[in-house]
Amino acid sequence: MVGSLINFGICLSLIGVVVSAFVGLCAKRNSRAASWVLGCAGVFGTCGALVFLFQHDGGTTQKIVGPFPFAFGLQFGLNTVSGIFFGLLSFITTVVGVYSTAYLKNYAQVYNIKIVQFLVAIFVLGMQGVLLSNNAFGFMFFWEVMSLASFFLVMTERTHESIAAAFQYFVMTHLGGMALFGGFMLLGGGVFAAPVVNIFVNAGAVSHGTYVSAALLFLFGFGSKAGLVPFHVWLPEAYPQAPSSVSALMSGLTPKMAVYGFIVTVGLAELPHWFALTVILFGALSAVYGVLYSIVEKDLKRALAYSSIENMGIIFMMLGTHLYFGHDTETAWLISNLALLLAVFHAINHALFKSGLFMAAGTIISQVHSKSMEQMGGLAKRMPLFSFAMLLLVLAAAALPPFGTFFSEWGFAHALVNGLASNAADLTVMARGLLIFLLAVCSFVGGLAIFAMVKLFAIPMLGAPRSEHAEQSYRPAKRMTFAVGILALGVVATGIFAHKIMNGLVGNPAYEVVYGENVAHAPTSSVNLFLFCVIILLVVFTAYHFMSAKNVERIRIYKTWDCGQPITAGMEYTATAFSAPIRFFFRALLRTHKEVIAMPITATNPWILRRTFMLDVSSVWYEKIYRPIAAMFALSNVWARKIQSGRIQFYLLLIFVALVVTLIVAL
Amino acid sequence: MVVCAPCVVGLVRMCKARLQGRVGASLILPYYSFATMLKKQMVISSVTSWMFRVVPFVVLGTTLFLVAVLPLVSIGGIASSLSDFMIVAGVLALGAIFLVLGGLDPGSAFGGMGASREMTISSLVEPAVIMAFAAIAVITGAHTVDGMVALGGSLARLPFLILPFVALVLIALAENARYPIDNPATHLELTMVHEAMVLEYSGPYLAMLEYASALKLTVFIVLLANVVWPVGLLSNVSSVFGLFGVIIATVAKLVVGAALLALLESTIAKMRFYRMQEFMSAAFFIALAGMVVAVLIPRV
Repeated sequence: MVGSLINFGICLSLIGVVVSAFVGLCAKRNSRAASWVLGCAGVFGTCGALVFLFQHDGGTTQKIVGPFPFAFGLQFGLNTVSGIFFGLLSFITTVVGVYSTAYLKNYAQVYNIKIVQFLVAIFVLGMQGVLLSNNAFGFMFFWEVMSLASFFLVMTERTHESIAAAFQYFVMTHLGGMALFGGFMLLGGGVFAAPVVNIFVNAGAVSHGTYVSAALLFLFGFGSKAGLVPFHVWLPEAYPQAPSSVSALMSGLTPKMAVYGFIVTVGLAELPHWFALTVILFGALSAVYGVLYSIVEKDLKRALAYSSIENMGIIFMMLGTHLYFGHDTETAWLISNLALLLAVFHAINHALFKSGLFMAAGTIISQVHSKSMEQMGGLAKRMPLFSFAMLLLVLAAAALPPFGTFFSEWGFAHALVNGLASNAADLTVMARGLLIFLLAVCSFVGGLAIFAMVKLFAIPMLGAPRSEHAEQSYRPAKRMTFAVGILALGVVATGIFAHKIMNGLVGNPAYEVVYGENVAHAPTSSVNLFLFCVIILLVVFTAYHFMSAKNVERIRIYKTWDCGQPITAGMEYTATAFSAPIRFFFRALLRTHKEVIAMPITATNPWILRRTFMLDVSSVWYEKIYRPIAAMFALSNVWARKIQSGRIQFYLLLIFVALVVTLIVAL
Repeated sequence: MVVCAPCVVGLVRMCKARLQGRVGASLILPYYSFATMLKKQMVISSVTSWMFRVVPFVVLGTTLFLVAVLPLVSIGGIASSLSDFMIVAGVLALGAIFLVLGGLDPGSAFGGMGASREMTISSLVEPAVIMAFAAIAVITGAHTVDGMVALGGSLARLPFLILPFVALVLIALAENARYPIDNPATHLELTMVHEAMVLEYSGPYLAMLEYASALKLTVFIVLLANVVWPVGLLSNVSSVFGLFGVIIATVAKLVVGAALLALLESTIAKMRFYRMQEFMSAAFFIALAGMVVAVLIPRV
């Protein structure tokens, strides 16, 4: 009975998405009905996934539809991990669907919103298929569907930057897809029907070299989709160019598909330690570079994209920890399981707050008509409720208590500390050194992430408006505020129920050991923390009202203190100025280039100067690694062209040589 | 504790004045200042939004959270299980963030500069906080600060805790806006961090913010004193005598801590802001060294 409920929910959700695609193609010109249908489909999917998760007891797979013989025995089904991610996908699809109905109205004259809605539905269908497929064929097919749909979506606005970014994304995603394909073929013995989950365990008798090569291919494939450094170059270009509802889906969900793929394939494998260290290294580089570039960016959506890279780096560091600590000792096993659990929890929270922030950015940009933070300002005064929702999302993104993201960082720090405090025999010195390194990197990145997120909220929302459009902005449509608000509430809810969620995710009482086994004190719980914060705020509020005199004329509204000289919006701190100390302190890593040229205008007076200022913040990875590789390819193409000399005798000679070589090799 | 805080600020000022050869203001002058501020009319800038009015409440709330949760005069209180070191670091950051938002809201260059600097300091001090407390946690095996002090995480019992302790002292200087990070007495450009952010606040809101910073200073002094030598804590007293003992011990800690702070401030100069990463790196690497020592020594 329950099983058929789940099947019903998931199937309705799949059908709903397909219907949304059709509606998107066939509807009237400016209609957003397709987004409404998508929202409904998402509701069904969320209900189905939630019922599945609540009655599920781990290990078994719920079969939904199939097997399809024409698709090499493809069967749609849910296991624990894919159930979690499917629920997340459906929930965010619902919210984005509701948001799009209001958001796309603003852009009806700019691009064809029917096609956008059609493509979004295909995109969601691709992601659903990736989560539901159980063999390599289905996985790769739906992965391709997802990639192609998002490629076209990135190109929506048809500007030069959009098309360039879309092609960059296309190349990187197909390189990654080919790597995944290669990995599946290597391990599945060249058969399409190879199962996805546990593919390493079921690989049977393959040589160690094949095993490790497949793992590396999977790392490249999933890592490039998730945005791991050094495969991340497409991400800050592609995410800002897509329409914001699409960016919300792309940044919230697509990297989670990569994380899901990584967990069920490589995550369950027994791999050598150097592989795990490579994963951790890539994760650490992504986290550090992601957060640093997020701080110095002044484009709102690019800053959010870099922040996604940072969070993916943290998740992959946790996954690498899980890979490194196998099952040797009790301590190692505890750390590795906890790391996996926390990676999944962090992925859930990240999807919630990142989608919310991208939707908030879309709302802001649709009113200010510019992506640059230097044109925004003073929006909190004009959009109070919306800015409050965005504040909650930003605080969650900065991993502060009592929001959900804090608990994954907290759990990770505790796992590391427990590992370090364990008995000497349990862990090698190298393992302890690794734990110290992880703690250092995570705390460093956490601190800087706070900076990035505060800047991202404060400059657009606070202060005086820095442009005409910002000054004339007004409250956004209720649906947009509602969508952002729902995700903010979601992040608060994961914070309140963090311990229950984490205990439920794997349900192993051993985890109670980590959370609050203090000497003679009750174990801490996330609910306690939230209630305590609320109590403190209430105490402060009542104390204020008690202590302040019963004076009617309490407040006088006047200008900001300006020393008698009127100040304009141009005099307040800009985004570039706000991040200047970090840019200065980390200039060795960021390699920013700043030039100030001061030239006197007249020869006789050296004090009247014309100043020229240039600040160049470009990605180190792009300039130092990708450009030289691309230049090498171009150079090799120039050399290869020498073969095409245009003389037919030369071509006949080549044919003859090729024939001779083929005969030698074949015989 | 809550009542003593303005007195501590007055005490530090008086010690500094005496060291500089002046007589200095009266000890209880801060009480008069707060009372006056509470009665005054507030002037709020027309540029600001709802955020400006929420900030003092949240900042005072986070400081009260620390007072309630940290082991200052008692161990094992009702809420002591919430004093997990990550929560403490997070709550400190939360207070700093809201102060920064309050500084940016009026849209003045003063507030922007203070906000930018304070945010940099706060985000660079966080790794040091986490690493220092984690080192103590590894040694004592407790995750809450309360548990750390209760289980004997103190210099009196474990002298090799000197490294995390020094890191904690540096962190305390950074968090409380004292020399060499910031000068709480002026708001000129060289020392424009905390004072610049609260420049637009007046009346009761300013009283709340100044009181919160005084309270934070008191909390840190007593916490550091407890880390050195946890004497006079309320967990195992059962008589009025014991209560007196606790009060006297706390007053003694405050007086000694304030005098040492004044001595430190009179001896060193404020650091240039663009050299701040040296200070933060020093705090972080001292904490890291403490962590390595904690891992390498045999379990006691």
